[in-house]
Amino acid sequence: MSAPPVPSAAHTVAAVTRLQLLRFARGKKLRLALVALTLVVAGVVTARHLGEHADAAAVAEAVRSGLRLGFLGLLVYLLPFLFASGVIAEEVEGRTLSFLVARPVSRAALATGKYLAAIALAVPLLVGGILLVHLGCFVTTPEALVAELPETLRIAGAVALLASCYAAICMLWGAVAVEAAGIVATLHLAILEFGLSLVPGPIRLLSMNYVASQLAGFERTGMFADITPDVPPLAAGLTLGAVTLFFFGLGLVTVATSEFRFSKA
Amino acid sequence: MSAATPSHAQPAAASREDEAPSIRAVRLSKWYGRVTALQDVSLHLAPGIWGLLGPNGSGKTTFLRLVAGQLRPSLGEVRVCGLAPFGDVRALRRIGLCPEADAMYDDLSALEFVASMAELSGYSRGAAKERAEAALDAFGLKKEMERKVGGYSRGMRQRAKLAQSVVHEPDVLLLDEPLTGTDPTSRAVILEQLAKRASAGAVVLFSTHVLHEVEALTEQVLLIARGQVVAQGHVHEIRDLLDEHPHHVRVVCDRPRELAAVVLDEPGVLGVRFPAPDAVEFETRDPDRTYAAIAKKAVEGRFRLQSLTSPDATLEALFHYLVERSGRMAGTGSDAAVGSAAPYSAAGLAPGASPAPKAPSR
Repeated sequence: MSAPPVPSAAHTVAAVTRLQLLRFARGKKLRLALVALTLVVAGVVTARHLGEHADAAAVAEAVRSGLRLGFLGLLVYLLPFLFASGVIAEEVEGRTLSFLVARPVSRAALATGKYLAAIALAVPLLVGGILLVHLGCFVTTPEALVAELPETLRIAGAVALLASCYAAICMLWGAVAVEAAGIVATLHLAILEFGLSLVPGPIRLLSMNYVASQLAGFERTGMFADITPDVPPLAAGLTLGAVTLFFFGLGLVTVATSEFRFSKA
Repeated sequence: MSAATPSHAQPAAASREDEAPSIRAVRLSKWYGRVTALQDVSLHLAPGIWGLLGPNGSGKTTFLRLVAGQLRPSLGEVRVCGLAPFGDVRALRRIGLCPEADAMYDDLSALEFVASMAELSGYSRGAAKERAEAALDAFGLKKEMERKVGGYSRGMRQRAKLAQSVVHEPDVLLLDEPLTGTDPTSRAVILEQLAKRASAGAVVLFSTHVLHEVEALTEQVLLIARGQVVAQGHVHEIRDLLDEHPHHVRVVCDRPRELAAVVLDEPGVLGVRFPAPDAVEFETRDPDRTYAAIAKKAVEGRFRLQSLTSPDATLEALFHYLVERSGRMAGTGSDAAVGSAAPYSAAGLAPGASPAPKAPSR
């Protein structure tokens, strides 16, 4: 008998990530994400070209509104939810987790690998979609294509950070509430993220969506927007990072300590 | 029947990564809420093939999951090669597990699945693929390894699961009902591979509730029932017990009391009861002889027999017998004093133990 030496954490994280990406590539979620992304990109680009805009600034504003609605208001919820909410829960429900936890892979490496696989798909798809929108909207105006690029990249960065945060939230709920992962993650995103992003006053700061919209440079909207505090870009970025780490850390602890449903036949 | 190595020894103090292949449980218990799934199990398994035999719900899977590091003990401890397996990657690298559930990554090919598992065990991608091919080949899936496992038959899926469990050459191989749903061809391949692993020095522990599956693989068995290891020893002794422990033969006929009167004097018949107005149930140590005697007496006495059945000519009956006997012995010896599961041999339940008095019961 010659079992191999204990693999390094980096090796196991990479192996878990690769396996999860392979499963995404073979599953339906990636296709569903691509369909949603295509519809949003096509919708924003079509709206920009069909709309009548007075000047270049109006065009830029229309594109920004489209990005806000399509990406910050829709896809940034959908894609992390699709890819992250089931990474642990579906293994438990499908009773395939046995194969993974019987390997010399720490539970932390297991959760990290799965989280990385989720954001490795969600973030590039979102950023790629935003860049496609930029290209599609400004393809007829080369000067705007260049001039508006920094703003577009700022939005892409904010959306990427927010997607990472939402992926951590979805993975956490998938590990905590295995049998109701989708419902609990949806409730969290709908109430605490989408709902609070519209309420007046400082309570809006609890919504990472609002924080990300500030990082992206969007104007405040919603009820009593004028009494809602602004968030400086640096503080917004740090807040998003800290909240992501908080939920990711909770997810790691949950996965590391839970017996999941091995206590059931 | 002798205990393999029942152990109430001190907990393994020194945990060494290079310790020889072994499974050691010391007063191991597991509860799910108020349900006791495993109770005070102590044992030591050395290299070789071990059958974990017990009826459904007896605690086999819980024991395997504790050994595989998927569950934490509620009380006591379990060691694999000297290491506590829950969350310890040094122990997990030496364990191979084939779970009972027919659940796999159906969208992946068998090669992708097994190679991924090898990679998770620490091999590079290239080495993992080579090992996966070899493991699948060993289990007779060479031609089918590129197909998605979702399209496999039950036997092929079982073989793919077994291939992933041995792809990293584990020192301790845990198999939960490995022969379930397999055809004779698959069964032969699986048995051959498991024997090969054991001869290479691994501890192979497999669970089943079918006695002949154990007989096909090994002589060494653990009998588990109601969360307790009720006996350990050789499989032929289980067979002897099956033959020797009291069996019940139920006859439904027109004159059960008259039939009881003429059969009761036959050799081997221990007692009789009447579970229904038209039925008589004989307790016997020699079922074959009793069947013959009943048939003979029925013809001679012109009885009208409606049915002749044995409600307990199974392992299930043996488990109940052993559990009841060990329960009766509890509190009378040293094992009871330390709260042990009172394994069969330790409780003095030797084959041929004095039978119940031969008297009718009504």
